[in-house]
Amino acid sequence: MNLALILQFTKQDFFERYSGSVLGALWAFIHPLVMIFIFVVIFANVMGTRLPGISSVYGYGVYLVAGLLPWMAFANTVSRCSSVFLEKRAVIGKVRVSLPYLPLYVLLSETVTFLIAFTIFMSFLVVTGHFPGKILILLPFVFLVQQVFAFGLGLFFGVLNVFLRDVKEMVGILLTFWFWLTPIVWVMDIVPAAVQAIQVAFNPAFLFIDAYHQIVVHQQVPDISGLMRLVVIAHLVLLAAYFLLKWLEKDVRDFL
Amino acid sequence: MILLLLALAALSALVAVAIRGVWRKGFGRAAAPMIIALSTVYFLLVFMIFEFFSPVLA
Repeated sequence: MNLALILQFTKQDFFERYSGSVLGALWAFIHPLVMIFIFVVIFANVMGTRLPGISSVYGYGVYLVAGLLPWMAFANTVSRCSSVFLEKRAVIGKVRVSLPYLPLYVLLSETVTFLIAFTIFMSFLVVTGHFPGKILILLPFVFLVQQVFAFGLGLFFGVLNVFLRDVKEMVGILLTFWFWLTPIVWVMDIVPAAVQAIQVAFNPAFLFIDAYHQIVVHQQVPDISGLMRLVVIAHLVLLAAYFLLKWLEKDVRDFL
Repeated sequence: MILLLLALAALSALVAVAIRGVWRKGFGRAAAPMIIALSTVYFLLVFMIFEFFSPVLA
């Protein structure tokens, strides 16, 4: 599939969200700015929420946003990829496009959205004196692995969604459960040791969310063995999704 | 730190060239699995580099 076509879809997807509005793509900056302001400032100054082990008043807000932004990129990629074939059925019917590569535009578009939000978040950290420093060099790799995992899951559900439209709704519910089961809003210390062990062993989302927390909040090198495990899981899921799509490609095109 | 950046840049460039080659020329039906295999190896190597350099970053 042509890379130029994917880039065109990405551009179209990103700008279509704000088409017709007076401020246009500026909304892509306003949304994260307001979200970061609410979570960090309101939680710290109005609600007085504190993070155990962190003396800063902004500790909990930083913890929350550091987990929430990557989760939103992950969840939006999975959820939007799972309906991409149905949304683009007109294009698939008219132009010969490679199905495994088509959802890449969703991944790229969500990456741009994440980069804008994260840049604003980093600017906020610089202003408040919480900038993580050179350890930040690790973040792009964590984000890439996370998005490979999201792409694999999205592709897998996308194939199933062509045959059973309920899959998209089920993915939404699954992501809501997954969000609350992952320590994004709550901290690991409040759950028993057994639950913590289950998180580490069986929750792939914990592996990348914890890496963000370690880098941004604690300014420490994350658990590399956990990230390596995530690399293997993410690529196995992607490989499984790819083979499922190749196996069912003819049926997918017929159903669309 | 400079060594780490150089190692990462070199590895990333190498893998980018390899993936571009697979993307453009293709390995027939095996193109996508090849890209997936390359990226897996890439990430594993990156995290091994970070494990090696973790005292520099900490």
